[in-house]
Amino acid sequence: MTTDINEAVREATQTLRPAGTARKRSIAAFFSLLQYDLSILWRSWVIRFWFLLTIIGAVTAVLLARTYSDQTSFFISWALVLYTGLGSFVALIVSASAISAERPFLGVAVISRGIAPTPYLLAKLFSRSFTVLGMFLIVMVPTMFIVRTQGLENDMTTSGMLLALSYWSLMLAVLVFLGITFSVLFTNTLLGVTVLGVFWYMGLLLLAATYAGDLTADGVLGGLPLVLQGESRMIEVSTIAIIGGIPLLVLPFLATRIVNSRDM
Amino acid sequence: MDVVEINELTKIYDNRLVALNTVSLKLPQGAIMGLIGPNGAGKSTALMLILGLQKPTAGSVSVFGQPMALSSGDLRSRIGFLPQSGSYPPDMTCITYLDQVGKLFGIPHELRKKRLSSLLHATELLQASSQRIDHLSSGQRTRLGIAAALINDPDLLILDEPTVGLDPEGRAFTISLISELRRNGKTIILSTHILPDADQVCDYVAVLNQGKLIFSGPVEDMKKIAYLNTVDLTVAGEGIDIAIEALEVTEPDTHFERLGAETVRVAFQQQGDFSGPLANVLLEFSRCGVTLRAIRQVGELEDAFLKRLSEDRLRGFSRAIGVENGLANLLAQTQGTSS
Repeated sequence: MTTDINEAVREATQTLRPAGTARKRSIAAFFSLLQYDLSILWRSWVIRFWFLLTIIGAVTAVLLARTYSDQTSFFISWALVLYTGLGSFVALIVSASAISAERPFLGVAVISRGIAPTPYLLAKLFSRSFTVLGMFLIVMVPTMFIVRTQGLENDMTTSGMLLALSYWSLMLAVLVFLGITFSVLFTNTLLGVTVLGVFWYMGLLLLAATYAGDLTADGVLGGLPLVLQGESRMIEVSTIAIIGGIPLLVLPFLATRIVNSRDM
Repeated sequence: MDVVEINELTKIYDNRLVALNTVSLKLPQGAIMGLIGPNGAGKSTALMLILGLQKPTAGSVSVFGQPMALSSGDLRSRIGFLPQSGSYPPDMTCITYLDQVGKLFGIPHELRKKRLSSLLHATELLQASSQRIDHLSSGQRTRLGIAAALINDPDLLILDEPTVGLDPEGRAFTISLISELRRNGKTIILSTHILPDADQVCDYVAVLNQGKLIFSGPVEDMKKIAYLNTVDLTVAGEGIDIAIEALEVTEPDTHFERLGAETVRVAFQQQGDFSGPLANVLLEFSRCGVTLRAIRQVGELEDAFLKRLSEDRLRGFSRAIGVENGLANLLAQTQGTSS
């Protein structure tokens, strides 16, 4: 038996080294971590349940749109607001638990395998954003286009719909990036999720209060129906892009800095 | 070239717990170093610092001649690590787990598959390769951890307590694996508190106690610390006490101690060759009708370790007393001055 072991160990340890530079290895590690994290998310019951719920919601919306007498832009605006209210919670859990939940074994099981924290963090940002945005777009894009054709009084334009989807995608991406940063900042997952939840929903309420035209139900939607109608001004679009873009650029650097300054 | 070089390394957790205190060490290429010490001595902290998973409070760690930090993924890609409490994804099988680890190291598909098969064979996990990790025995998990540590063909292998919780067969298997890796020129750091394991495979030992390095050097030098001229005799017969009494008269420079019904510890004053006095002792036992069953030199690594540890504790105690005395003297002087 010993001879077998010896031969096998010799064979196992004398094969050629993996070719490639540090950068290539880093990229390979990034894709491997991305693939692994996506597979974890795909197996997650929270994700599965939420996806099923949104499909049911989308089918219901399509059925309701046939009987909705008002303009479709208001109908879809309500759908987007509802998605923000509930979907944010799922996005928040998915992102704010991403790293803190793995912290007990992150160092010994992942970082020790030739990984620097940066590709790990980037893989988390990509996989969680991809999942959250993917679930949103897969459901919302067809829903909006079907509602446009099925609605009794359609007033939405394609460019308006795409712009609204972009705004919402940007908002969800900011939430995911914030969540990942909170996940690095708070070692306790529950605390991280709670703090971010309070922070995010307070922010949404303030935003709604600021942009509400009046205190009627439709007034709370602010200018969203106008966006769907294709009535946006360039200055508004660029302002939102800058406000949303800054956290997307700053937060990864901040999260990388925090993760590199801490013990694993 | 030294594979690992540690300079005055200190790690203090939360400004409270001193886990490592100005430790300096060097590990030459191709050597096996045993990092030994009681629980809480700072062994795992030292390993985390060598891997760059923790930041030192003071001092530095160089691996392969380059400073190690958390961002040094490239340096870590040349290290294989077996953690003490391996956290494995329970729903993965052995083969998918090793494949995943191989991917993390960026090993190309073809090479990965080849390594996987060799390592599963080497660690005798071929039969269990498609079993879920949570269905494996502790021995199989350790072997899986060793396979994962070897998948990148590391230049430096860090094994944290690889034989803990293994049955004798598993332990022997692991020791044989480490010996074989040594023959293949691997540099290994083996953290353990099972001293016979370290004795079997290590070239060097570093002894940690309460975060302090109390010995570092070749195993042989360590053994010299302990009872160099002392043997334990396993004997049987009625005349043991009579023989000892007689020997205490004829061999006044030799110290005898009964350790049990059948064991007598004999400590010779004479340094170096003590074959003469030993022959006299054996002759006397024989004369008194005592049968000699075994002679064991008291100079195993374990004895040396325990002696070193007890010396260190005594030194710590003396220092404490010294400080107390110093304070008392200072207080007396101050009182004298003020009056």
